[in-house]
Amino acid sequence: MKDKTSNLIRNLINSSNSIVAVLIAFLIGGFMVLLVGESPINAYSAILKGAFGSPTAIRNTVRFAIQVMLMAYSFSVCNRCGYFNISQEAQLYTSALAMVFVSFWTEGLPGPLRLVLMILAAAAAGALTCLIPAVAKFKLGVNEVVVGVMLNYLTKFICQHLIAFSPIAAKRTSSIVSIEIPEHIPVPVITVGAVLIVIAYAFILRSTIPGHRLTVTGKNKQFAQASGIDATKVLLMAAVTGGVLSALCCMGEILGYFHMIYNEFAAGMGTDGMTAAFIGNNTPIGMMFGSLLLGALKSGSVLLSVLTEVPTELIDCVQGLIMFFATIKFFNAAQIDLKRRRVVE
Amino acid sequence: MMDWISLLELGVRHAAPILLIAMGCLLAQKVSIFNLALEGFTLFSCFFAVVGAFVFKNVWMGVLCGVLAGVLTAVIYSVFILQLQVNPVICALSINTLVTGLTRYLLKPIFNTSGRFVMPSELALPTIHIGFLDSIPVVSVLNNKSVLVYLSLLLPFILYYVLFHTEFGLNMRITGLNEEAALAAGVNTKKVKYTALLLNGALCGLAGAELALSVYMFNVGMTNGRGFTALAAVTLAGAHPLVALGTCMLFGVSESLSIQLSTSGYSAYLLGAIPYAMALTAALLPRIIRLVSNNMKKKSAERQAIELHSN
Amino acid sequence: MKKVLGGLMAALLSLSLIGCGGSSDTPSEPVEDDTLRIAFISYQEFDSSEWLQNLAAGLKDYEAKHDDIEIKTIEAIGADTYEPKVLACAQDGFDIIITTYSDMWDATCAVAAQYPDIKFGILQAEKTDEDYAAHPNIEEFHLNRTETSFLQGYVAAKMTKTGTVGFVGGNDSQGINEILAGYQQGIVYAGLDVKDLVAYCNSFTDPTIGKDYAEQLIKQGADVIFGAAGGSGTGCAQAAEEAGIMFAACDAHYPDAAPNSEIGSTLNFFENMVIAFIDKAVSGNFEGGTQHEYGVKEGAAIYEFALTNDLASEELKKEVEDLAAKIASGEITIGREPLHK
Repeated sequence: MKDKTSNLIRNLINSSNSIVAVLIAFLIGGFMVLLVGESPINAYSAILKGAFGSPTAIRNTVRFAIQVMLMAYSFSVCNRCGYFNISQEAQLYTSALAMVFVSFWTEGLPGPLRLVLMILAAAAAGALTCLIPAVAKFKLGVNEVVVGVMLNYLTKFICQHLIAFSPIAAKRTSSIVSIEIPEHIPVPVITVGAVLIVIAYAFILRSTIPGHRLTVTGKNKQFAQASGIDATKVLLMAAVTGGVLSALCCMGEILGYFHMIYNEFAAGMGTDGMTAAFIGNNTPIGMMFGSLLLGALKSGSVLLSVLTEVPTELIDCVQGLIMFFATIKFFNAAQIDLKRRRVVE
Repeated sequence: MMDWISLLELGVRHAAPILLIAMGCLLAQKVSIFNLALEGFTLFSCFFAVVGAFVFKNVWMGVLCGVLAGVLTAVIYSVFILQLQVNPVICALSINTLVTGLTRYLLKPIFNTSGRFVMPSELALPTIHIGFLDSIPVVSVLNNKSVLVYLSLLLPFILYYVLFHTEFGLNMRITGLNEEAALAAGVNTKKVKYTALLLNGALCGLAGAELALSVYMFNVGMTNGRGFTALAAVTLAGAHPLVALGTCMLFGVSESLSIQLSTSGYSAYLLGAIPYAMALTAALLPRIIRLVSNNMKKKSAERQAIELHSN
Repeated sequence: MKKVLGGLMAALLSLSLIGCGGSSDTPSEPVEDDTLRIAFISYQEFDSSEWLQNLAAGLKDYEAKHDDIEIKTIEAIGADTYEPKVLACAQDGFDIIITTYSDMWDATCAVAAQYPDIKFGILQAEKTDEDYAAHPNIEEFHLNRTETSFLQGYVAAKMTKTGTVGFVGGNDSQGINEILAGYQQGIVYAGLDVKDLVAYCNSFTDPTIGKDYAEQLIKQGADVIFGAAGGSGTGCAQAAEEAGIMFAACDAHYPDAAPNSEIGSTLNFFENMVIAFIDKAVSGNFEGGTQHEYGVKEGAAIYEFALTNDLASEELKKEVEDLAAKIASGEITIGREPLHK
């Protein structure tokens, strides 16, 4: 059997894991919907309609999918080097704050210049925040999950304090938000930008030298160093890239849709990205489909809450279930010897 | 003007559920399982502790139900990560999501309320008054606490003994350090891992019972991040029980510090950040100091070598 | 593999092109039937605050009494769901859409502009008259929470024996600070030189911490605690009950947590306000482009003494009644900023 075909079959088997998982999760979810007294068929048709049933639905799906995808890429880039990037919420808060502060401080400058400065500030803030746990792990030997989780809480409170009391706090609002920033990026630009990022990420990872260095370092650090790759530099570059990707997600959300910092806007975005990364098995295309799935679920649940009486808690449950089953290796391609068509233990 | 005694007293009370969760997490960590589902375990136990206490009209039945709920969640978690090889992180996060949604949802059918359920005050966890403790200056903060709080303070010592002076603890440590070697030495690593996770669940169950029954109510999301705080405390302590006692107390006392300062007019948001800032500093500062002093030692050694060489 | 990659890229690009489409959908034709469909979209979970729970219950009662009205309550958690949900309601043909808080203002404006025939209502939007005038199909209404908490402060100042009273708020935001503002001004109005302590517990769902904060205030001498912190407030009630001091409740009575210590509660009937808006809209009196304030005068908020005990004297109850009348008549004006934190 040709190698390419066996590779394809291998990939298909691996991705059928996710499909089976989603099916099981939807089955159990449907059962829970039945318990609530709603019809699962109504519920799922509402989700499908909300995800793909109209141009508005597709717009929502694309928006949420881009959000999740950038976070997934950010997590995956770091994960390849053994750096568990759980501080993504912190990166979102810091890049949001950087953007709004720069916008506030550069009031007199011309529009395009302000936008460029804001983007640079957000990227720098995201990169720095992502570097903190990375440096803690690789230079100080401190577990990066502890540093990451503490950073998440810390930046959340600092963000809340700043949008409540600092010059960027909005006056006369029911809950704490920042001032509105005038800069806008049209949604089509964000969408096309995200597509370009997918292509660029996949390309860089597979076909360029830095991408290869990243993959090799991730697989075996000692081997990489023996081959002359400066592993620490690669790791730090990965952390910087992860931070910049999170910052891009933040930029898309704030410059494209929110135009201000809402209280606790980053809640849950990190875990969504992580889920998509695992569903997609850390491959660029896989993660893209994982994010499409999560984005579709999120935009489907918008219509679900409008058209049915299914409570929002159940939607969270279904999402949790999908996450749960998505990483069970029902079929492990590595264990199937395609040449001799039998299972190898 | 700082009231140190009441700072400590509030710190002990606040640290108790965190300590219980931390001890459970520590056992899992010893067999090298990084358990992020502590919030889910604990919240589920909070809910069922209230259900048990209310249905059986007895607070200790509530504690038992809490423990059972914790063990049940742990069983599901361990089957999925040990048997079905699910990614532990995803499994943990999805358990957290599931439990949050499920407990919120179940309030309606079981108690016909939404958001929270308050029980009669007779079902509160009783506190024990140890008369002679009042006369001892600092130790008096330990008086008038529930039995679960006392248990949480004793557990680090119990676990220290079990982990370092019993065969069971040895098996745990070997399994965590090098599973192949443990298998070769005849240890049933699978059984050890399951036991560790079930104990983890049981201890989180105790924590949930303590949290819910000391205020004799359940509120949606009442664990409020304590699971992650416990995880941080254990990781900071390098999974050593006695050091973990210290780090949990650090969290408890810094939280009680922010409560004490709450009326002084500082920003409530910055005060809320105090425990996390302290943890971060405690994690990073000693290592940074060590790194800097190593560098300085290296530099001075180099300078000496150069001086010697040039002479 | 490359072919698959190429195919996927093409699919992705075409999907994104649809996603880029800037033009809106054609609004669905309003279904010509007798049922009036109303959507109420909350910016947070209904079970997170008493006032939201009461509001949802009130809307359900209203729906039960009117055969030809259908009310759908929806939660929009997370700022990125605001506009999608409002838009989905509009596209599904709801006749009246009510949103909540200034957070949802942008989303409401965006959808209202696309659907000029749908009547929009927004609760507590905190915008200026000019802002409202620019949107002729949005009517704003807000409840002045300072009035009832003013009465609460007066009562607390009159009932305290130690001369110190406390306030535990859920978080340091305008909604809670308004309640604090009224409370503090009520204390000052009583003219008895009472000190007040302010703390924010940073959580609406943690009764354990609410209890700790209340106990801290009690340690600092407070013998009345005003708990405005949702679920955490129940913990405050427990602390007050256990310490044998007095509890001032917000938005609900606490007969289970504080039967003997609750003096009274600031009952803000958000549901009355929303129902008044619905009645107006249904009967053709929709006043788009304006804002309305509701308070004691309109019967949307009252101060009610606890039904489980007799802590307050008849004299105090009479004084509060008189004060409420003065507020309703406009004789007393209450500022919206807290005097101190």
